[in-house]
Amino acid sequence: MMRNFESLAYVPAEAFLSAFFLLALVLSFWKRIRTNRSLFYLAGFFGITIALTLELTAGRVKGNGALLFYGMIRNDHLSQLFTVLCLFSSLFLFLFSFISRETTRKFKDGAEYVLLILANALGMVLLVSSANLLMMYLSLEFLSFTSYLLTGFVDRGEKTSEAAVKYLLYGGIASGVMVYGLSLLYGIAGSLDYAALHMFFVNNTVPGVTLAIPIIFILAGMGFKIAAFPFHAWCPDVYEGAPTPFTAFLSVGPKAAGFVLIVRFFYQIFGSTDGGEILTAVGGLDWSLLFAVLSACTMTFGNLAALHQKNIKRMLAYSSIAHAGYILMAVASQTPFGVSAIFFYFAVYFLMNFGAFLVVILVSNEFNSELIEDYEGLAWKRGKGAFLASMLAVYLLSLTGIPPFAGFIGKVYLLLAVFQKGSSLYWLAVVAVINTVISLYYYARVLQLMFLSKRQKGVTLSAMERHHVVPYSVLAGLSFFTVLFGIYWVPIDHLSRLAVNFLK
Amino acid sequence: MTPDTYVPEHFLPVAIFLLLGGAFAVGMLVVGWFVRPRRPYPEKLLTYESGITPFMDAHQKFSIRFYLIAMLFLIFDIEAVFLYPWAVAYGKIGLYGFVEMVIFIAILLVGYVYAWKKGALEWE
Repeated sequence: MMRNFESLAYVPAEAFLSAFFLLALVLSFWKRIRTNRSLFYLAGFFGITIALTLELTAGRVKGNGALLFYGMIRNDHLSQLFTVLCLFSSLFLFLFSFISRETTRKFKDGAEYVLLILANALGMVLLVSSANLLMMYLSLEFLSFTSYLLTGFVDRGEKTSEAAVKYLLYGGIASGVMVYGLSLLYGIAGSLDYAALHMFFVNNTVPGVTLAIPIIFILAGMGFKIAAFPFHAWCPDVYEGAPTPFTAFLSVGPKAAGFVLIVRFFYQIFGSTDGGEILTAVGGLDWSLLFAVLSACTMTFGNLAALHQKNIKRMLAYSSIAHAGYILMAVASQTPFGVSAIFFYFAVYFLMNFGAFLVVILVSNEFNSELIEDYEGLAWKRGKGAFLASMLAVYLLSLTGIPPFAGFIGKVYLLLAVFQKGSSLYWLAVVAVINTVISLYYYARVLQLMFLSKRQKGVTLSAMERHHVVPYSVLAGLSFFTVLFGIYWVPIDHLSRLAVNFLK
Repeated sequence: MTPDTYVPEHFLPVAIFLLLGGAFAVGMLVVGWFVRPRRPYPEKLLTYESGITPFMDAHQKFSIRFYLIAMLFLIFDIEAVFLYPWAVAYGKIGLYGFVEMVIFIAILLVGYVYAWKKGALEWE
């Protein structure tokens, strides 16, 4: 356990982000700087890039990591991997904000938008490395508050207000319930530290109900963050009302951070490895079954609700609920391999989800519409039509989980984790496969509209211009990696194997 | 080593305190009910408003500025609360604690200037 000043050397990215955020905030006091939006966008972009560089060049942690700041923060492979993932998603949020018309035109205060994104990134990287209930709750709130503000930042009319207020109220209640659960847990075990809580539950058997109540309360806050089934109601409205770049980000970065929170909480406190392939649950709580049921409900609900959506952002929102359900399978597996599978899935989900949303942004730049029916005949439109449609096809097929795309390999990893747990969870694998088939319907419906219908109603596409190079090469790059990791996924596999080291 | 069964014995005083507190509150009301004389008249039944006669409904909209001011108050009030334990322990933590507190106050100061610049302190 390290003291404050020595710890600073181990968290270069977090320290830099905090300092950079404060500096940018001070600079925004001068009106001439504040109103220069491009300057702030660039500053934010480079700020995140530097933080990312610092994180990538930081010394590799040894063994199962180090406890920093008197045990508040844990620096291990899991936190490093997800810090990089989260910072990359913030970087893409900036990139998309450059591209989308919503965030380049209808803006009064670009400086605040950038500052909120930086604060949001800081919240995520702190959340993925928290090793104390207090730190975990504070960074979760930090992440949530900035998310509420960013949701309502670009005024798109009634939808935005509805989204922001719904998100705020729902989040407020979820986190209130969660902090109540945390206080009950503290009341039982008398500590906020993950390691001390683990020791308590190893040495004491807590009767079922006494432990079940705090766990269910805490699960409400976690479920809200990842939009799992009974706590998902905010998700479609927020995804629809928020600016599209932020919607894309919300389904990757904060969701990944939420999963790390779940993994740390349940694997570190309520699991013990003894070097085996499967964790044994401690504290007399069968959280494997709990997450299995949650996972099955989440994916089934997400997929069924996505079937008849008319707005593509809403459809992708329900699809992201379904994907949270798939990823929960790995949590339910209770295996160290499950943690690897979660990282693997997020790495590929990052590519395909950001890619799909980039197509949505580019199409909405052209048509000013997010309705699925406006995608009709997109592939046959002159100019960029064929390119946009084929890119969206790659991402949607990958999201479905069809070989040879990366999404398929991701799903295989999740299913492998479930099979490793043994016959008690085979039913969950069956549910997941059935769900994949259901999801094919609504993804394929978009493809069918784009490719099989030659009726071209509505607006024609603008011609390719020089400043379009960036968005279209990003689009091509994302799809390149989506295909590449579907064929050759060894690099991500190597990285994801590191994630389990935190359990040793 | 077999795990012990957890018994929440530390919370026994809390439970007793809760029971006693509840019983005391209910008891006072019940005793008052039996002891007090009952002579109601209209002025006596009016809403208590620090001595003046109430003249309008209390359920009305009021400016969102109140919330803003309340939140700002809360933030800087908490800051002041944090200063107390620091000041008490200052003799033990010395320069280390001083630097940490300077950083803490500097961050809050930036927030304060931000609120000022945004016009959150003006009643417009």
